[in-house]
Order: sequence, then structure tokens, then C-alpha cells
Amino acid sequence: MRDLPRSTERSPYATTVKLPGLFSLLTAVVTVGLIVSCWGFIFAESQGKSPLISGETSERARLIFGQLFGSETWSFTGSRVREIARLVADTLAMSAIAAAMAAISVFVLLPVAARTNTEGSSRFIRIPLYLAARGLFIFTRAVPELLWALVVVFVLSPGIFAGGVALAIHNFGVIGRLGADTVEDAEQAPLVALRSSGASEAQSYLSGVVPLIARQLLTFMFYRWEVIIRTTAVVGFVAASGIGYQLRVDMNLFRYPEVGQLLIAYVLIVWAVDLTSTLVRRAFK
Amino acid sequence: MPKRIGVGFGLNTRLAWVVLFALLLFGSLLFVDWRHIPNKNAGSGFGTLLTAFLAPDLSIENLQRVTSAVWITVSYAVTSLFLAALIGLPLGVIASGVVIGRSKPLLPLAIATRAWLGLTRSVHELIWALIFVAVVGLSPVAGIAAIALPYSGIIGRIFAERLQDVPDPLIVSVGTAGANGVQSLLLVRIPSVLPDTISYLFYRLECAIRTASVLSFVGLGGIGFQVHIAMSDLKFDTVATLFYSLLLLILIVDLMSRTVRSRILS
Amino acid sequence: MNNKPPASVDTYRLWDVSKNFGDRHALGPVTLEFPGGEKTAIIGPSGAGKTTLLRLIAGEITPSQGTIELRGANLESIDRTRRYREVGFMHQQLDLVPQLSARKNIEAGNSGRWSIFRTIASLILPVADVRSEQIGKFLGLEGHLDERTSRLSGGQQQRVALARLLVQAPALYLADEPASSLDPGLTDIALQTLCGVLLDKETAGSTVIANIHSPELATRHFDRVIGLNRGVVVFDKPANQVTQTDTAYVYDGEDTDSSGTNGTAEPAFNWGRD
Repeated sequence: MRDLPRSTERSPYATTVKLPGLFSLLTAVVTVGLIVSCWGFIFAESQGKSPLISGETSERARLIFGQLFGSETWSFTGSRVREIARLVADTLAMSAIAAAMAAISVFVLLPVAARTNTEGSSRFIRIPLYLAARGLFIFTRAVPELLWALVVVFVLSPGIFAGGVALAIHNFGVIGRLGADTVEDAEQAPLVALRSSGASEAQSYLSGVVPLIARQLLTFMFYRWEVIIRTTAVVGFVAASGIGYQLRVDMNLFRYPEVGQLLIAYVLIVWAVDLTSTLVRRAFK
Repeated sequence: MPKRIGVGFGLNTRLAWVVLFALLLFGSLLFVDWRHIPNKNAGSGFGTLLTAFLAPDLSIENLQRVTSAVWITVSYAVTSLFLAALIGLPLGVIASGVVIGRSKPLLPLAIATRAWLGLTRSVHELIWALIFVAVVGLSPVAGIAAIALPYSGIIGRIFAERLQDVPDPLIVSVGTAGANGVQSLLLVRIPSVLPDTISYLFYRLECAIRTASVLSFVGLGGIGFQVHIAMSDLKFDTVATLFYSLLLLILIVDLMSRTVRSRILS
Repeated sequence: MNNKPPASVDTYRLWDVSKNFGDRHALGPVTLEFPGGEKTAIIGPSGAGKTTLLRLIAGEITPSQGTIELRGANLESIDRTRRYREVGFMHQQLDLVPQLSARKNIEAGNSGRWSIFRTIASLILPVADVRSEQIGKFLGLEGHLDERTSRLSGGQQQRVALARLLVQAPALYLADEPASSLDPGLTDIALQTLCGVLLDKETAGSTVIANIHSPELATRHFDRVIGLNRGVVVFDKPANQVTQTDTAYVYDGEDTDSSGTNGTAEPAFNWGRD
């Protein structure tokens, strides 16, 4: 220990240098390669088109924003207010339908989708069912709401219901996956105790699993509602309902003041839902 | 306080929740214009779709088209996420106030940044896309900006929250060893949140892929664009292929996330 | 209390110090003096106020009443950026960064001395700080230095935290139960290192105040032993004069520690993601 440098001296550096492992190197190369090639592609595609920030674009931006939030926007006529109010109500209804349908469907599927016990003769039915349920969650989750809307609109006519169903399908996957994971991660002991005291599957599910996750599920639902409402307003694009649809119409007609009004309504809804959701979740804590 | 499981929910509370849910559902259904719902296509349409999904179009010609659409979507997703992280993470550090917030004059900057991050995230990417396309024209830049802007907002906000949540004793401990704000950020806060932040960024990549596929609507080419075309041509088996390709993408990202996560943890 | 003698440049002093946390009276009033270079052990049951005492001297909390002086200077008046030279504190809970390697945790003891750029360099460049490495190896951590700290055993982690304190090399070492997870052989090495018998270049002349869980260890390694119970000094003697009666009196069987574990936690969604 005679050679230990004093704290006030500059400590000499070690001569051996630690080299990064092969895996990290490989990952780094692949990642950089991916990012570079993607940027290259985008760059190639952008040739000849105007850049984001230029004299021209900032001029246009100023023009558009002027029209979006100009004097015309702020003059709300009575009929316009009523129209917007109806759109807001439609949008909220759509989000409620979506949330409720998704939650109920998940609730029904949860006993199958959570791998709580795989012993016994029911194994041959349970495991394929489990895989099917999980697979369904992943599949419905992978496709975004608007793409589901394209398909749903074909079967059901455009409208609030179609939009709600499209939202529900995607969120079914999101909530289902999270819910099943939570049930699986939860304490098994109380459930085992319930079952050994003679409760049937259904009983142990209702009295054991449900209260366990009900509170979490509810708070998560309110949290998720924030996300859903933002997408609901946009789903209307395809499903021809709510704010989204009107937005599309007005945008195509370049009626910017109207678009501005809808945007304001949209942001207000999002903030209102945000606030409600936060308050409810805090009350639940 | 130990939580009692299974006993806390009385019958009345449970009933109340069920009733509330039912009210919500049925109340909203009142808004629906039921006369028009069952499309002429309804029954047969559903059947056609189901068959298509069970037998997607896997011809070479179609696969080529799908692959190029996938590549476009992935490019958009990767580039926008990269930009979003590049902008969002530093802004998150500022917004968290762990370094900036210590000096009184700079505190408003932290609060303003926090507000900005929350604001950009309130608006859906598709709406941003419409705005950007109106300003910039139909260029990939519009799509990238439309995704990167709100994503930088949410990434920054989550990062800021995580940085703030690092337990105080860890910070105090290095503080006694002489670490200032920046040093404790580098030595304690960032290493503590890094694994979770990386998984979160992978999750964001997943979302970016979905968003990019939707934005292709606006005319930029990609999976969503192809779905739109295929639906118009009633080529449902193509739609199925496209949906399955999205599934595959998500699974790949999921796999990458898990591999990196387990490696970081080792 | 009046007639406070003038501050001495080589002494650490608590003058009429007491600390309350809301309604709970944790410590004091106590008046203690620690001459420079003295190694003191504090013993007592859990909840006696031992940790509170060390936290006060380290400046983590402020006294409800009284003053604390480090080498003549009032603790509050010492510039925060220079405080690392005066006092270092190893927590009972260690409070290391679990995701970092042992090496990086130990090197964090240099934080006061290192500039921001040096800190960045230590995180990015794969070069090691020799002093941190040698101290780590000395405490028996060779081969484990590059492992993630969360994967080390309790005893290894405790040595990492001790190494971090040693790397800092302040004038006053404060350690809260620094060897409680170590086996007898390692405990001796750890306490001897802390008290300057080994590695004596830096620690030999410095002052040490440590909370020690065993009276036997306290008397064996330290010059002076203070017994604390219920926030009050029960005895304060040179180590070789501590008797069985003293020890028994301190540990009168009452454990006033109120910490405990909760029951089963509720399962949680990972819903912070969006």
C-alpha cells in the first residue's frame, strides 16, 4: 500500500483498457446502420421538396396560422357553437363506447388469458386457448386504430359506432395484454387458498382475481381514456363521425377559421379529460 | 399497512361499478344512429373479411409491394423516433429541474419547458401532419416533424418524471462526497433511469411504427396508404397481409427490446 | 447553555445540539467534543439516535437547537462545495447506485475533487482510476469491480460503500454500521482500514466517528466509545475503560426502532408508459 496515491494527487490512469464486448459492438453497428439507412432513404425521398424551415415555409406558416387563429376564428355564431357541441358530445360518446367495450371484452377473456394454473386435465384445452387469447391481444394491438377503422367501416356503416368499435379493437389488445400480465404477476397465494377451500374457477375468479386488479384496472382505464380521447377525435377521419370528420371536411375546403375552431375545441376536450383523469386517479390513490 | 386481498370489495361497491359501466356504455350507445348501422355488407362483409384474414395474399408480387411499404413505414418511424429522442431527452433534463431548477432565476425555464412538452403531446400526430403538410407541402419532412414533435414531448415528460423520482438518499450520498448537480445527474440519476428509459424508447418505437403507418394516409406512402388502396379495391387478402406485416414488425421490436433489456440488466 | 469555550481549530464539536422530527424527539441535547485524530465508536440499540447524530454532523439535517463546529468552523458556514473535504458519510443503507459497476460507485468518491469534464470522462472512456481500484482491491473486491453493484452480495456492497468513503478521504470520516454485513476476518480489515491501522497514509491522522453494532468490536478497534440510548449519552469513556455494566446499561432491551416491512403489496400495472 506504499504506492497508493494520496487523494490530493492526480491518480494515474490504468494501462489496461476495457474493450466493449462483441454483442455490444454488433448491436451498435446494426443500430447505427439502421438509423443511417433510414435517414438516407428519407433524405432521398425529400429531394426536390421544400425543407422544413425556409423563407417560403415560414411565410406559409404565418399565413396559415393567421387564418387558423385569426379574427374570424374567434367569432362564434350560435349555430356553430351548437354544431361543435354536438361534435364534442359525439366524440365523447365514441370514446366511452370504445373504453367500455374494450374493458368488458378483456374482463371476459381474462380468465383464459392469464396463466394462473396449468395443471390437470384441462391443460389441453387451456393452453391453446391461452395462446389464442394472447395472440389476439398482440394482433389487435399491433394494428393502429385508424387502420382498424378502415376495415370496420366496411362492415358497419360509417358513424360513431364504427369509430367506437375500431378504437375498442385496438385498445382491447392494449388493456388485455397489460391486464393479463398484471394478473400473472400478482400474488398467487390468496387465489390458491381460495381454490383449495373449494371455490370453483368462476368463484375464485370473481372473488379473488377481480378485486385484486379492479382498482388498478379502473385507474388504468382513466389513464388510458386520455390516450383514447386524443385518437377518438382523429378516428372520425375515417369513420366519418365526430370532430375528426368535420376536421377533414373543413381542411379539404381550406376553411381555416373553422379548422381553428375545431382545433380549439379538440385541445379543450383533451385538457378536460386529462384533468378529470388525473383527479380521479388521485382520488383513488 | 398490509393490504387485504379479496375482502375489500363489498357486494355493493362491485354492483355500483357494474351499474356505472353499463350506464356509460348504454348511454353512449344512445348517440348512435342505429338505423344505418347494419350495412348491406354486414353479414357477408364480415365473413369475407374473416376468410381473408385466415388466408392472406402471399404472392411474390404482393409481398414485394408489402415489403416496400414496410420499409417506408419503418424509415419514417426510425428517423422520427431518433429525432424525438435527440430533442426530447435533453429537454426532459431541463424540464425536470434537477440541474436547472436549483438556481432561482433559471426555474421559469424548467417550468416553461415542462409546459411546452405537455402541450405538443396533447395534439394527435395526424393533426400535426395536416398542419405540416399545409405548410411544407407533401414532403417526408412533414411526416417526420409530425411524429417527432409530439413524441419528443412525451419522451421528455416521462424522462423528466423519472429523473425526479430517483430516491433522495442516493443523491444526498454522492452530494456528501462532493458531487454538484451536474455530477449527481451523470453519476446517479441517469444511470438509475437508463434501463427503464431504454425500454420506454423501444415502446415508443413500436408506437412510432403504428403512427407512421397511419400517417401514410396523408399521401406519403407506407403501410396505411396501401391498406387504403387495397380496401378501395376490395382486395381483402392484401389487407390481411399488410396487417400481419405490422404484427411481425411489432414482434420484432418487442424481441429487440427484450434482448437489449436483458443484456443491460446483466 | 452559556459559557461556550472558543472554537478550536483541531476539534469537532456539538454544542447543546438536539433534533426533533415533528413530535418525535430523536436526539439531545448533547454536547460532545472530538479531538482531531481520535477514533470514536458509538454504540446503542436501534432508534437510539445514532444515525441522527451522524446525519447532523454530516450536514444532511440541521439541528433543532445548538451548533455544530468542524475544526473551528460552524458547519452551516462551510461552503457546500468545499464540504467534501471536511466530512464524508457512509450511510447504513449504503445508497449506492445499483445500476453502476462497483468500480464506478467507488470512483464516485472523487466527485468533489473532479471537475464535470473529468466525471464525464470517467463515464465514457474505458479507463480506470488507479486509486479507486487499489482501495477496492484492498478491501477484497478484486474481480468484482466491474460487476453491477446490484448483483454483489450484501457484504461486497458494504465494502464498495466503505471504499467510496475512503476514496473521498475527508478530514472527518463518519460511518453508519460500516461492517455489519461482513464476516469476522473482513470486519477486522474494514475497521482497521477505517481507523488508520492499514492504509495508514491517509486515515492515520484523520478523525473517525462510527456507529458500531457490537460493543466488542467497538472496544477493540476504537480509542473511545460513546453509549447512546433514547437520544441521550449514557456513557463516554476511553475504549479500555468500558465495562460489561456500561454495555448492559446501554442495551437495556428496549428496541425503539419503528421500521418494519409492509404486508403484500398490490400488483401494479406498468402504466407509466405513454
